[in-house]
Amino acid sequence: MATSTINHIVIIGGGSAGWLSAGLIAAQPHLTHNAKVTLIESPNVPTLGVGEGTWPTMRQTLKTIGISETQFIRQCDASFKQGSRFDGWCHDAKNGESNEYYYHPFSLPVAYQSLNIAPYWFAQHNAVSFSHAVSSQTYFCDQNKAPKTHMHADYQTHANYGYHLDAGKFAQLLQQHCVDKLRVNHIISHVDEVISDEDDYISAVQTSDHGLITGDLFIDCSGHHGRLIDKYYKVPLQTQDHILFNDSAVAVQVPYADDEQEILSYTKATAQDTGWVWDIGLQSRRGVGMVYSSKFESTQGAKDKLINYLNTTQSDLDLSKLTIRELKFTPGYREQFWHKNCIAIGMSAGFIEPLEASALVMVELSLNTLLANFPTNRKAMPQLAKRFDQQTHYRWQRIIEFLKLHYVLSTRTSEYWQAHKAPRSIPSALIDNLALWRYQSPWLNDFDRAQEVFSAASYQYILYGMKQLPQFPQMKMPAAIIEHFTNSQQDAKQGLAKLPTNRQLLNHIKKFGLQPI
Amino acid sequence: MANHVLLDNISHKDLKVITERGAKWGDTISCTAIFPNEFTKVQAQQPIVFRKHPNTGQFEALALFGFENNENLLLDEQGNLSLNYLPLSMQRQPFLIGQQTQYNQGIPEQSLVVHLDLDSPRLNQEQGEAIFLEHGGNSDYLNHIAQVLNTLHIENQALPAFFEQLLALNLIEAFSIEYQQKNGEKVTVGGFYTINQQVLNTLNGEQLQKLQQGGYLNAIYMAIASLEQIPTLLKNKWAAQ
Repeated sequence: MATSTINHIVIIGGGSAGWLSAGLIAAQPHLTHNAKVTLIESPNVPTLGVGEGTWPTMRQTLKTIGISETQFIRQCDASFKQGSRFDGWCHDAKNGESNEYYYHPFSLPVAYQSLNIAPYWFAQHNAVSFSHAVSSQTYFCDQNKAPKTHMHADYQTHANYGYHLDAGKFAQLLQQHCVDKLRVNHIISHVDEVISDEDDYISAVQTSDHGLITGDLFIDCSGHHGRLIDKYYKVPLQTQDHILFNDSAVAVQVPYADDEQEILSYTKATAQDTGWVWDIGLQSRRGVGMVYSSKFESTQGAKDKLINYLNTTQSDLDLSKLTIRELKFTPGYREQFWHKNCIAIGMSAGFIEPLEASALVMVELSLNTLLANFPTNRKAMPQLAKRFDQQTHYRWQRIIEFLKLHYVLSTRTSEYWQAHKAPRSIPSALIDNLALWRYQSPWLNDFDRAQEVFSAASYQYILYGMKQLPQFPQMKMPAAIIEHFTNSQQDAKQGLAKLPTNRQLLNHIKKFGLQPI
Repeated sequence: MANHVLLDNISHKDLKVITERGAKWGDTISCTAIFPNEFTKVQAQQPIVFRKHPNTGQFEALALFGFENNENLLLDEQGNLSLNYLPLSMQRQPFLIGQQTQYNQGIPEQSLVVHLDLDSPRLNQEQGEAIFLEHGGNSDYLNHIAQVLNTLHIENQALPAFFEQLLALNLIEAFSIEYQQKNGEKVTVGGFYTINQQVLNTLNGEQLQKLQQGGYLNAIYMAIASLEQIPTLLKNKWAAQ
């Protein structure tokens, strides 16, 4: 072994995860000063096209990589996402119709930085929904408003937002930027063989067209088959289908009826008897899919439910023109994400149903953790790996608990939903928290890590969206609290008057662009 | 509101344009659009600021007359406006650039034409500059206007490149004008942008050369110098209070 410093970082895989890794690493001058970055991509591997929803974190990620928001919006068919809406998750639909829904907006409840407003909402829960009472953004979602105006700069917000995007186009934009601007070395070739040294650290990969590519740190972004982490190191997947049953999806791309049809400014998740349907609005089309458990539903049954759903959203849809794709996945995550000098990021690390769009944000969080703990020397890797694994395991567990929360509070009666409520399927930490939240509201102390995936605010939006109110003494409403609620309604009114619709702003950006400041 | 029509020498043959400036001719305005080639002349009389156009969100440059809507602090007591240099966007009034689609063998072609704002108080049949000659030919005045409109069109086309280059070098920063009313009340007028002098001072030779070659460097310094006109405008504001 000639040297143990990190001079060459090799990324395997050219999807969103691979190019985000390349972009974020190559945008750090202190890293690329000493090391070069190479991305190896197999030819003709279709990108899976999941993960079309991002979190607000993506704004900072793109900024760091150095891509302007205008360019991103124009090239990725992207639109603005201000949160999620859950339709029919509380109760069974009556006569096939369900009017009940709630929001999980990206904006924090009003006054969140100084106090917990939730207990003051309980007394008025019959008059106004939790999210409408504490977040003006909910009203913007109701009317499919954009989260900003054309006078705002790139990435500047009126209300907090992330994106819906076309993952294939996103990978293309990142690739173009990484290669042209960040001098990432791009190799299109199959990885035939993994070569390791006497410590079982990977020293090189043998490619079919470009020979031997040596490296010091290897990032496995090769998707669910895990070229390095799984196929080479055989790090097992810890399956999670005993908690979250969904392991299949059927998906379809749906054109808009016309140029006027509203573009949803939230991800709409509509509950079904055996799963749920996502509905995501891009600029040029919708992405709609049904995610379900193969134990409770057949592929044909899922397709029927998907088509049923589509017909409720658009009356004159020509179904014969639509191609329904089928997807299978094993919900779970690796026992280790960082093994020797190999780090799994993206679907090679783990995958869970797309509820709450955790896929891309986990890529971003993992990369931020890696960048904050970047090895300058191979000898530091074991300690950094341990830290990375602990952090990432913690995040996966919290995500799984939070997703499970959406199911356990439901009163839906089908076999699938009942199975979700079986105590043995619920993580013990969630059982504990649910017991606590029968008497008090989720708050900061319930989640004490510096970088939690989901904050207490998110738990409040789900719990109170599903009308799980704690037994709580009636609270006196001080004038200052009334003012917070009033301000929130005022903000909503002002925002509605000023904000364009999602579609209007996207059209404006296509025509004029936004300014960088 | 605006009543824009295509100018022609039949319907408009007897019209004249009052070219005097002042309150009664619609000059009670707080700003007018200007272009980098005008900055040298404008900076000697008015502050130059940038802002995002309210319709397009794109940057534009303005010469300021006042700090509130419809406030022109350069009008004299009689309401007359006498400027050493009248910005092109005001010289053109009441004419505008219009676009016309003509079909050349079935292929649409855009051409520029002169439009007239029929609602302008400057239009009348008695006094001012004749638009057309007796037999329908263009007056010298109209020829001048055509030149002004043509220059405006060219400057308009060139403007995005100016801002693009400034933005690429981080040379633009937001700023607000803060002033005190005579009664002590503090007022902040926001939404303006100007040159970031700190960034300008750290540009390297290559960057400066590029700005110079684009003809932008002079405009940048003129925009900075023009901010010294803000106190002059404020003095007028206090004098009126």
